[in-house]
Amino acid sequence: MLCTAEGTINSTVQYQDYDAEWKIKCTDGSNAWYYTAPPDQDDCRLYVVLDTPTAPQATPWLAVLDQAVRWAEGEDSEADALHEITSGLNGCGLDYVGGPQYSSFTSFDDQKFDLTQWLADEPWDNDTGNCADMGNLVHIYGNAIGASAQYLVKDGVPGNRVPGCFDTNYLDPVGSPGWNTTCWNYHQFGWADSKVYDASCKVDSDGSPESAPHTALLPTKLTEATFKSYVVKSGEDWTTVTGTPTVCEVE
Amino acid sequence: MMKTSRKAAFGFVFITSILSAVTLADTRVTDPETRHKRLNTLYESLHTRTFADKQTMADHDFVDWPRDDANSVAAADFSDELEHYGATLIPGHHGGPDGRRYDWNFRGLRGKIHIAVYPNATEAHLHLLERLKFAAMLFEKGHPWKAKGIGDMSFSNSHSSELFYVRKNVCVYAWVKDDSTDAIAVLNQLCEHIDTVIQNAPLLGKLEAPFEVKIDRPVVAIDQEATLEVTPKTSGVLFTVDCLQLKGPRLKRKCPTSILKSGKKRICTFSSEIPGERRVKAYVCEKSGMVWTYYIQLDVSK
Repeated sequence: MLCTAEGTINSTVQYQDYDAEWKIKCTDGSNAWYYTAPPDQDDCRLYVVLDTPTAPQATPWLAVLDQAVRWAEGEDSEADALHEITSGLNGCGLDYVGGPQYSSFTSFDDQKFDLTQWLADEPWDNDTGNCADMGNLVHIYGNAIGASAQYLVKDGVPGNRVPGCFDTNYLDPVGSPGWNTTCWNYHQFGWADSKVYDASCKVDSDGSPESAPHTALLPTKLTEATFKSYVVKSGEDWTTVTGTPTVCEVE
Repeated sequence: MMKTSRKAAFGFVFITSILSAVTLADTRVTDPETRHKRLNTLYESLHTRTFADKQTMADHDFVDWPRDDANSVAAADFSDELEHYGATLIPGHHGGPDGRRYDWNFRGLRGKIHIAVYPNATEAHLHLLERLKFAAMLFEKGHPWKAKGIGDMSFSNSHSSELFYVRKNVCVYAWVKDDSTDAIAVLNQLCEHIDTVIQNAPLLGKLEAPFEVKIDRPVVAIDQEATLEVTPKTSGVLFTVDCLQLKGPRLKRKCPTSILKSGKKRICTFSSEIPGERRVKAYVCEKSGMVWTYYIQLDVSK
């Protein structure tokens, strides 16, 4: 097969749509080119991604790949691409609720994400989700473009005000209800190269996250220690749940 | 195959009977240490047979939840009952372990309701425990606006914008997209209304599930697939199948998607590279919001 193409593709995340014209030539006989029927294919798409996609998107779902590339377009590093994906998910219209809506658990390190339902619900401005859903989504969309994203789960320690849970500083969860403090049973977020990518809430980064006013920061590229200082109320502690980070399944 | 099918059905009956028996025994025990030991035994027993987490059960005093397994109600279409609140079924979300899912829109406020009807109160309560265990926000007993909460047992989050409750064999989840006083009042009113509907709903005539659930082989070799078949006893039933693993190293699972389909049997397969005993909980969910649960034993031999 002979392929020729025109145009320039740089090494940033992107897709390029192009038309293809297919023709065949038999080397015995006339040696002439013959067009296939239909001769043109006008729905071809070339993807430039960070690296080979990985599980659970080793074979990327087309809708996931398209959206991940749209969010991360123009980026050439994993950290910047994941920042854009996290930002895209945080602005997707979902409202925060306490329980997972798309993720189901056998345990924290054995999660299944209902990607079929998630994609069927788009646009998501009338839907709800929690941190497990958002953590899994960063993981899934990141993997589709070859990022090494996983998810991490943090749990409260027995000595906290509510044993096993932890009180938070002021946070602005995705969608409603806005800045608030709360008590979390656990928290899950995207995790790559030992950095946090949390699409489920913005943190108050003004140095006094326990009180107003609030300076919103979407937690990306943060170390776990910095992220903890924003999220976890002073005097409370959290710990990594055994078994994470890991890979969720999609269906 | 029949043996396994009966085993699944037996497991379902056994959970309710063991809970009733031990609960009755516990109420007669006044010595705290003896009671604590008995509760631990009960929670351990439930933990090995169901998805219930021991700590979650203990934290929420699960054994003390009022339950009456003999007084179950039938699944109902709540759409008419909730018309006043502008409730509509969410497209594509009317199956699954959470039951029927509705959007509601009332006086400029909006939110969601999930209503799942289980075969008995114990299974509805176990479902609520699963939801509480994996809820990221802490849910605490009761509701700030109601001294005794709503339903037989209720849990709300710190903003009161989300509420779980069980009444009889029904598990309800309600959410409002706001945490203002007005919003909480409307959520409360809506939950009370659903609670009344459940209390007045017709009793379930029979407990026999309209599905046949069987696994082709309860013992498999490493990497060999075991197949779980779910077949409706009558044609045209719309249902989904969802499976969660309860015990043992992770199984490779292939289950149908959550999209509601009708008709013939649906198949899940399980396999593993690691030997050992496994337990799987299968949820067979009807369009009506009725959720049937089955506990399946699977051994992966060396």
